[in-house]
Amino acid sequence: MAQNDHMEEKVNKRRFHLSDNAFAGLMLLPVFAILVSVVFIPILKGIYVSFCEYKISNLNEPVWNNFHNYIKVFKNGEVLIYFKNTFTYVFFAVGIQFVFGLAIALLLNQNMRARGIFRGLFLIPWIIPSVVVAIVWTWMLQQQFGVINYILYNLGITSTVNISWTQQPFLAMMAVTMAAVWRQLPYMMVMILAGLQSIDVSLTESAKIEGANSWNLLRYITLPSIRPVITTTIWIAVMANFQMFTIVFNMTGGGPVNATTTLSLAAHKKAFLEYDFGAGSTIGVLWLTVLFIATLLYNKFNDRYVSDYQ
Amino acid sequence: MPARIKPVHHYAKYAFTVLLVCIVLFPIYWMLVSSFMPNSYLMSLPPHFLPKNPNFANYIKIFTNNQYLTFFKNSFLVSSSTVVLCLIVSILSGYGFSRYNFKGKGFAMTAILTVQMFPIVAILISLYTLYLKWGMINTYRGLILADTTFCLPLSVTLLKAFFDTIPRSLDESSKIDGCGRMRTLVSVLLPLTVPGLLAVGIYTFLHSWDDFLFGLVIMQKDTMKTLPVGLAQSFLGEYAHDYASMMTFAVSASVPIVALFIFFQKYMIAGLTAGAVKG
Repeated sequence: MAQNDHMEEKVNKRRFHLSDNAFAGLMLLPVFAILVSVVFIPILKGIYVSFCEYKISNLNEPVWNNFHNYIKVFKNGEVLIYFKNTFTYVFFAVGIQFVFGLAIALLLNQNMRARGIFRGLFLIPWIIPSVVVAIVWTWMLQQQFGVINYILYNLGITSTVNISWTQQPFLAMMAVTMAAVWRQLPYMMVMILAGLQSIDVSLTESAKIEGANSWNLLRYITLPSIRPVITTTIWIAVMANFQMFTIVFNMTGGGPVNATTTLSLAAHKKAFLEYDFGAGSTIGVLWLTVLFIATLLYNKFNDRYVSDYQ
Repeated sequence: MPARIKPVHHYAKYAFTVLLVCIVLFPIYWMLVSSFMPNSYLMSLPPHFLPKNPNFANYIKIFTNNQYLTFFKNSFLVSSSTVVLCLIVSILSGYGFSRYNFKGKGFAMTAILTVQMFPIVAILISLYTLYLKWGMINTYRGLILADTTFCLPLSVTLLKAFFDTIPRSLDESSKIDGCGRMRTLVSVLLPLTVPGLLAVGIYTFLHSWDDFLFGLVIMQKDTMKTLPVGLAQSFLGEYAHDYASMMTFAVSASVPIVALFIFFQKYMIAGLTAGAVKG
């Protein structure tokens, strides 16, 4: 009888036996199957076809053409303009949302009733779909009847009520930046606020007793305490804005004359409007290279920061 | 003792916050106001800051148009399927990452996180040519797969973090009770991770509801288009003049997602901040 039980246990064990490693592998199989087929294979293929003549006419057989695509996108400094536009856009979008996000977070971090409600209200723009953001701002910035032109004129900031935001390079860049900042600011604010609330109160209290004024408090206590949150959040915002497509594409379409054509828009235009998949991939590969270098620098910077404090 | 009178700056703080909220929410107010008025009122100066003769004519026009209803249907279908697929995949891998140690675990996590940084347009170009070969252009599964992929990095990390907060002793006691590894996951761990599942589910829904680029490239037939693409292609462009319908459509596209947000705000903020503040 006892032996029987023992046997049964053995059989059961055998039937269900799967080493921990094998089980973990099984758990991770779906995620890696998806990532390999949707991300890693396309990336490798993209790198390959960036060296190929690859258009809609020869979709099944890309033809190797050395650096022809690279020469093409560097001709007239075309790709440099896209990089410049992207950097300009990312710099202003992230810089502005950081400053305002920090300011609002500091405001809400004060001893305040109904903080949760205010935070919820400030968050609403973040959940509005990007396309909706683009069309609402298109409407508000409309040349003749747009409400923003009207308000600016009546506040005496502009001398005419008839400003075309999409016809001038600088204004077009400003328009897309405003719309993007409006949508992304809440995220930045919530992250920084969460960081602020994790600061030990005794730290700020003792600084106050020592006679620190608000500026010193911010400069020497608050900001250093939330430095990890700030670096992570800014990094996330930079990455997200590097990818930005929807708002720019729908507000300006990259115009006027490429003034707001970022890398995303340029790659999309090459591939899906001119059907030159090779040249589109070339822009993607150059972009990937820059991102790779930026990530290395970021990690190096971050490591140094961490080792300072260890 | 006299009643304590609070200093002026105490109230100024609230007044200033309310003013800021009004400025930040103005575009939403403007969209709403515009959606209740005909174009002839919108195209006039000074603008009507309060709706004049508000009515639902624009909404009736939108919701009796079959084409527009198809966009809604497609968006709901794609977004909810993405949520389901993304949850299944990230529950499994979150569990794997949280409970098992294996060689290359750190590398695997990094590989998943790196995905967020890859230029989506660049991937999309090759993905489009591959989808053409695989017959996945103009299919729901094509778009669902693409949307899921780019939700995975955050979902997996978040769920792993949520599983990490559950003590391992629970796993062990359920093992002693005779539960297998999958049973432990389903009947012991998942019920405790409901807030995490909600956070990931809502985030995924938001993300795929917002998607424009994948929808634009993968769905080329009008009957397959999702809301953002349908919205942009119906109203934006050189001859965009029908701002009233545009705003009505914009409001309608935002309402489902805002409603979701109002109900689940707590979980979303918890999920949002969990990742970054710890990291």
